Amino acid sequence: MEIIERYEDEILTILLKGELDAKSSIDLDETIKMALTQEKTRIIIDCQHLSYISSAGLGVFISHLDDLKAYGGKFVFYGMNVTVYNVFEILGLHTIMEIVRDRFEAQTLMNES
Amino acid sequence: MTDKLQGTSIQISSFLVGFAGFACAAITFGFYGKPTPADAGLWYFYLLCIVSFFLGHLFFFRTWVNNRKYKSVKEIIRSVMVFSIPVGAVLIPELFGFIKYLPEQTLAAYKIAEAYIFTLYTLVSLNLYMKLLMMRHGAGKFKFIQGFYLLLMVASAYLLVRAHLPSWVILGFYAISAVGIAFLTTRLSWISLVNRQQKTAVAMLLLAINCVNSLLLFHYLTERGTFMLSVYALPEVIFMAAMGFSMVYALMALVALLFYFPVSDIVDQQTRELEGLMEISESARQRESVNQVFDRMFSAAMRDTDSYAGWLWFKADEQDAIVKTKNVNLTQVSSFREALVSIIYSSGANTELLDVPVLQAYPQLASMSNGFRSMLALPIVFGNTELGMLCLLKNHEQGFDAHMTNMAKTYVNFAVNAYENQQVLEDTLRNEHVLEEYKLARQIQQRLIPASLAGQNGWEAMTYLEPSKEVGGDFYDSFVLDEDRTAIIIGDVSGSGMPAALHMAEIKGIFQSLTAFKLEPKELIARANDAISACFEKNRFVTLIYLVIDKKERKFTYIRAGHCPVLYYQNQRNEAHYVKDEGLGLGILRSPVFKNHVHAYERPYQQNDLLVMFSDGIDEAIDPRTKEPYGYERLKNSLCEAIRHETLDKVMKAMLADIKRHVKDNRELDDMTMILLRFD
Repeated sequence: MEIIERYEDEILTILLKGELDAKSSIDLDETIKMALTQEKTRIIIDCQHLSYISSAGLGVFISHLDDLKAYGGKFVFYGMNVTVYNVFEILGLHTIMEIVRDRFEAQTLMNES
Repeated sequence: MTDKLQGTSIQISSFLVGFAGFACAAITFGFYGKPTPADAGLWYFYLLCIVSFFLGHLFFFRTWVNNRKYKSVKEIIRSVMVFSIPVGAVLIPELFGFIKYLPEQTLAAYKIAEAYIFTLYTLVSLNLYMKLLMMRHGAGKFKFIQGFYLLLMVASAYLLVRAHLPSWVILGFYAISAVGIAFLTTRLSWISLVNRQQKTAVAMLLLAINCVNSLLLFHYLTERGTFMLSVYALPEVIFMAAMGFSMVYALMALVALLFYFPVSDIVDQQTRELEGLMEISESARQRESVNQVFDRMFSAAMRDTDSYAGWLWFKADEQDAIVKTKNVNLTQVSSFREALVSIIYSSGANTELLDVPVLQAYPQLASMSNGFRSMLALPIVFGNTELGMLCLLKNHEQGFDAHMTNMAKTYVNFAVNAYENQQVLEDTLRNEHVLEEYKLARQIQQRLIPASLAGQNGWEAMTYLEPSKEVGGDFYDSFVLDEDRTAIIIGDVSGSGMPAALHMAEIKGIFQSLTAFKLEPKELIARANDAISACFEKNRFVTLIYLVIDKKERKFTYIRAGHCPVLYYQNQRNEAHYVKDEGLGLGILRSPVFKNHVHAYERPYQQNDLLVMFSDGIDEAIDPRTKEPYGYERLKNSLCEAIRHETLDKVMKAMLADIKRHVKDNRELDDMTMILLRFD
């Protein structure tokens, strides 16, 4: 798993490459925690290269939902493949998280709020 | 105890017999002068006295020597030396001519006392040398020595009967004795047992003994006629055999020891090294603590390199450092060590041996090594990590030769090996302990999950649950709500292994208490979410299906909280489909808003309709070759295929077999749970 951060226009984009398993979830958690301490709370997750997500990986996003909301930020996901989307959908996360098709939509959505 | 007492009394009586024999002979001599064979009865009485004196004392000293526990060669030789002191004491005044000032009667008494002392010395030394001869030798040598004794006794006995022997018998006796003595004197292998610390002392003792022996020989040669034999009247052969042996043996021992000196160092070193290693390995074998093993290693290294001072610093992971010192200030050790470590590792060379020039070259060492002029520093390395250091110090230059360096290295290696073995052993024990705990945890979890669902009335169910590890986060349970209604729950705590299993137990408790309140399904799930939100870590959540069967109304109500959808087989239509409805997992939204995401669905059922509920371990089970997950489609097809079986048990077996065929020998599977439920 590769985790690549990019910060521009007050939006942090985290690109996830590969499989987000139990082990890489710890790294992702660190990344997000660090972003929160730097008050980077508007986070776009680029899932175009995310091939698999484990329950631990979902746990990372879930655990930071409230914190982000409290800071006035949020997660926006885009570019999910069907397999990953299904995992979100079955768990019901698509109803509480913002998942869009592409980067443009993600940016628009982020700037709306 | 009685044996010992008996032994002592025999010993004492043998001494008394010997002494009585001597006293009687002395008295006879005093009154009648030396008896001759012509004196008939007196002569035989005299002979008897002499022989009992001789044999009584021989026996006494033999048992006395054998019963004593000599710890070393040195002790034996020192005993000989001690007995030679009175010999020297009586000989010196005689040789210097002082005794001629003594009165006539006193002179005779002096001679008698002298004879007694010589005899004791001869017998004691004979026995003690025998003890030396027996060292490192087997039964064959023992027989030979016994033969030598026997020869002495037979000769004595023969003399009792025949006073005068033909000269050829005497010659023959001499010859046999000479051969025996020659043979025995070459047996000096005990010399190799004399260690370095003792060898000088042993040499000095032997030298002293040989001086006394020379005096004795000189005395014998100059005063042949008036020598003790004139008192004994025994042919000198017997005494000479014993005396000669003692003298020759002592001389040979001294010579051999002197020749042995040059090679003894090497033998010594090897012996000491072996002893040191045995000590260390013995201490490791007895499972002594690391501390004790290194303690032994330190003292062995100090002792066997003759170091004046030294220290050992050792730090095993997560433990306090072990520090041992001798003649070094404890507070210096850590700074000393740091200085050494930087020198040894920065140079990269073999700098274990640091002599004065080196010590002086490093000011930080020179100031710390106050006065020591040579030093041997050995890093204690375990694998690639440096765990500590052994440092030996001496007051003089060039204190450590190659042998000592090697020996110290070997000791360090041995101790490290012992430490390593102990670590392996401890790890094994710890792992075993953990495995045992896991086994227990598994047993407990199996008790938390019922083998079959309760309340099977109007419906029947088959269950299957296989955790990927000993324990897991999958679970199912059922609660009878009332006469007609039963709640069934199947779920999955995120994550796996022990943490998931502990949460699973918690969930069981939560539902057990909530179902008792007879709440509406939606309310129940909302409250379960509250409970889970309160006690679960933020990144952990639960997915589940809550199903209530109402057999009276012939309907089921269910809530899917983020769990895998239910596979519903409708008998009338002979068709299966996934019931996909909305629903969010528990512990994700930790606020009252969650209630908006809970949806309860109600469906009527027909006879022989079948529900399949399962965990994601089933649909995500991977074929290790194609990396293809089992998937919802395969599961559905497998059900349609298996449904032809009469009993639910067989349907379950067929479906599981299909999954097994897919995953083959894949060992990295998630927890798998499946419930088949058929309505009557």
